[in-house]
Amino acid sequence: MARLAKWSTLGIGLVAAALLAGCSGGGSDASSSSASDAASSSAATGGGDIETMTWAVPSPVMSMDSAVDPNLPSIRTQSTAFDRVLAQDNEGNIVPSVTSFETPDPQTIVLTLRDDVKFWDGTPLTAEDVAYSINRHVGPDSTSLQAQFFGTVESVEVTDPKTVTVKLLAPDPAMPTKLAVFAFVRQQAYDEAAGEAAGGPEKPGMGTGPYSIVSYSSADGVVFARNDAYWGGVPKAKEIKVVTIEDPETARLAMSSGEINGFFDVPLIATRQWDELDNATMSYVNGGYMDYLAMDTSRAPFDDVNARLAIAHLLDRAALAQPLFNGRAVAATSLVPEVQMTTTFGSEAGAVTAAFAPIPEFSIEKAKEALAKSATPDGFALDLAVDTTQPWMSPLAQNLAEAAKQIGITITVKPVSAADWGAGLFDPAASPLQLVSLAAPTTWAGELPPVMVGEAAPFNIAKYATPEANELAGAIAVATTSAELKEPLIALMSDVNTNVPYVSLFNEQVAVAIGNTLVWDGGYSYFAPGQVWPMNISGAQ
Amino acid sequence: MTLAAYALRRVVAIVATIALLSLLVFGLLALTPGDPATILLGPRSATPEAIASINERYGLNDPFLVQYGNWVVAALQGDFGDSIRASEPVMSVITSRLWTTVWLALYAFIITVVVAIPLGILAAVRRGSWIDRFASSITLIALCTPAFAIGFLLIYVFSVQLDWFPGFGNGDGFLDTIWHLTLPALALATLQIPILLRQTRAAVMDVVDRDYIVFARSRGLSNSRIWLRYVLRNGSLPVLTSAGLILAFSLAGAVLIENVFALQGLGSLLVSSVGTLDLPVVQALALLTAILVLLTNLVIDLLYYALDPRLRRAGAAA
Repeated sequence: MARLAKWSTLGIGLVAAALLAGCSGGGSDASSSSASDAASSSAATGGGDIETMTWAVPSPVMSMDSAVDPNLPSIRTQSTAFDRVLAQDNEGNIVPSVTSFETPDPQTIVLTLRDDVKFWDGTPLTAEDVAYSINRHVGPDSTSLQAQFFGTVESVEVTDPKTVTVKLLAPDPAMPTKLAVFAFVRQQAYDEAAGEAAGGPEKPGMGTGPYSIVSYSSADGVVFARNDAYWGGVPKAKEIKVVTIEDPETARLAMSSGEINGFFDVPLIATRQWDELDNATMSYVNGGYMDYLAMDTSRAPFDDVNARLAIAHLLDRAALAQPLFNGRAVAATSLVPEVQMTTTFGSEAGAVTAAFAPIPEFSIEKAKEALAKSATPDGFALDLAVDTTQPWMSPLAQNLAEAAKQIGITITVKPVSAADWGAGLFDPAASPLQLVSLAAPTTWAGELPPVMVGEAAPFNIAKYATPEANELAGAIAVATTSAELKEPLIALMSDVNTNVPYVSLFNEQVAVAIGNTLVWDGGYSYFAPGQVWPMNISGAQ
Repeated sequence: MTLAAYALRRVVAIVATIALLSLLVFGLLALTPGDPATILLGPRSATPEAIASINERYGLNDPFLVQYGNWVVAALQGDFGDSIRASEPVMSVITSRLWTTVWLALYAFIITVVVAIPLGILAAVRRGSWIDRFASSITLIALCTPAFAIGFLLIYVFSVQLDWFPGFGNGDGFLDTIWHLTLPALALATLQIPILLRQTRAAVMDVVDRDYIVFARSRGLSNSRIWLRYVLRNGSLPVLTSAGLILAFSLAGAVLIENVFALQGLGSLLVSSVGTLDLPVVQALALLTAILVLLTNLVIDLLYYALDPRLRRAGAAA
């Protein structure tokens, strides 16, 4: 459920801007792919046809319209039927989909339509449909749950029958990524006729994707039928069913009995049991899932760096990574996920990471010393909310509370729902100590720092905005090459690791279970949410 | 008092209860911290334009009682508004899950009654025998076993190992639904059987020791007459109460069972709606659940009235 919570958060906009704002041009600077390793390898080769494949997602698809339900499981489901304006490849680069794009200047994106794209009803895709598919998320009166991703869009206009021009209020190098992940292509006439029912069971939508929707309900799931006229080629599976299984153990047993053929986002805490399935292959992918401890630097006791250092010294991150994630996570070295460092800096990534100041080591003695130097030498008491849908949070918080007790700090762990946890991150009356999870969908190492640090950062939970940090975050935000990024990134990450407004905790993997009757051609990618994933799957032969 | 008069009195009480509950349920939105428009917008961007639009659409600028009146009028017509997190009206979201819960509750209830009542009677009649000890043992084991453990055990044995029943999902059509709901209903019944079994055993044991039973035997009445006219009839009253509570509990949503078997029923909908602050759905579900429980109680009360002559006499005297 951890993944779900993170992408739910992404979808509902709490981390929206953080995930995308400030990132570079879709990973064009990348030099290597995201790492992946298969827990068990199958000798089968793909290419075979599939009669029916059933995939399970861990939360119900509440709408087939991403403007209403943009949670990750729903995005995966919607992308079976609806193309995006652009797409991502396995390395996170932005590639053409129903349109290709050019950026004649930093505030203009010109989208050019393919000639051969048709909706399931046979009508050709028009520039008006593409403009509508973006425009519905744009503007102050848009009630789209994805509106926050398109806040930098000034206008979307049809410039000729094959061209749509997106004008931006300010340079937004992440916009192509947003168009690839969030801008689902829907037929304007269908949606207008459907009105408020668009996306619901009666009027789920008209798309151009590889599958049309046979039936949909949030209770029973979705049945898709192959679109033989798909512009991207004929998919291998005739029929796809997507069902909801919220309990991962039920999903594992369903996988074991062969009732489902695949399950996205297996909780890392449960992967040992999943690894033992003899009719499925687990794929583990390094990606941009990051966990942090945030301390509000604008409020006591964390307006004092020594109080923050005391807390940072209490966390044995390396030791905790193994039991909390079954070894499928590593202690983070900075705010930036490892995969972004590798894709951005290539062979230089190790050297750049080594240049970051280290995160304070685990030491009760040093924690005591730091607390003694702080304005609260006798300790303090505060709450720490843990999202019950993210299994790592509660044990980590309990561990921290136990360690804190030894130096006179009382931390009360408060289990809360995912919604309450997300709301608490932005609630000024909430505890100044917060656990944070983020998902970063791009390949650019400059993506997260400027949205987590600095006065302009929309996701600055720690409210860390010193003049130096502001300047460095600003420099990172405008950097477009790894050479421009390197110096301010090293300086800001060192600043953060030294002054610890955030303690970077873990960089998690993503786990996906795929039945042995199927082959994910090219291997599962962390960037699959930005792809038409069913096109990557064929029958094992 | 006739049965009709008694029923009428109970119905009036139920209507009054529902009216009071509806006020409380509607007050949920007003009592929830924060601006109702922001809550109704959910995670959508709460721009001033969007908030103004929501305020106008839901009449949030009206006084509370006017808002409540409008909501009641709409609710009476089956319109509870739109779900915040789905492209559907609330009633559509609920009805798509209602039958799963109803079928599950009825199926489990039937299994419970068929197993628990005969076994409870047998255990009472043959007190101290191996049947009694067997009934006590399975009661104890079932009571001590968590619902999710029973669910996973049933899935592992009957779905993964034996491949007799599906391990998750609602099914499609009557027979397929019955097939899909067999394991969840068994799991739910396993939780309910101990309660009804113990209640039946205790009730029957209480009756068979009464003086009027001894007297009936001394009069030479046949065993079947004693059992059917005296023991079972008198023993059925507390059993009926327990059975009614069990059914009401199941209809209110067997959350854990629904979760383990990936059933999209009312219980899982309530949990997810609370978690995502989908208040229109929570309001409607709370009211619907209350109505289901009250109606179940009404049926039990009427059966009580039919079975217990003392109630009828008391009513007539009044």
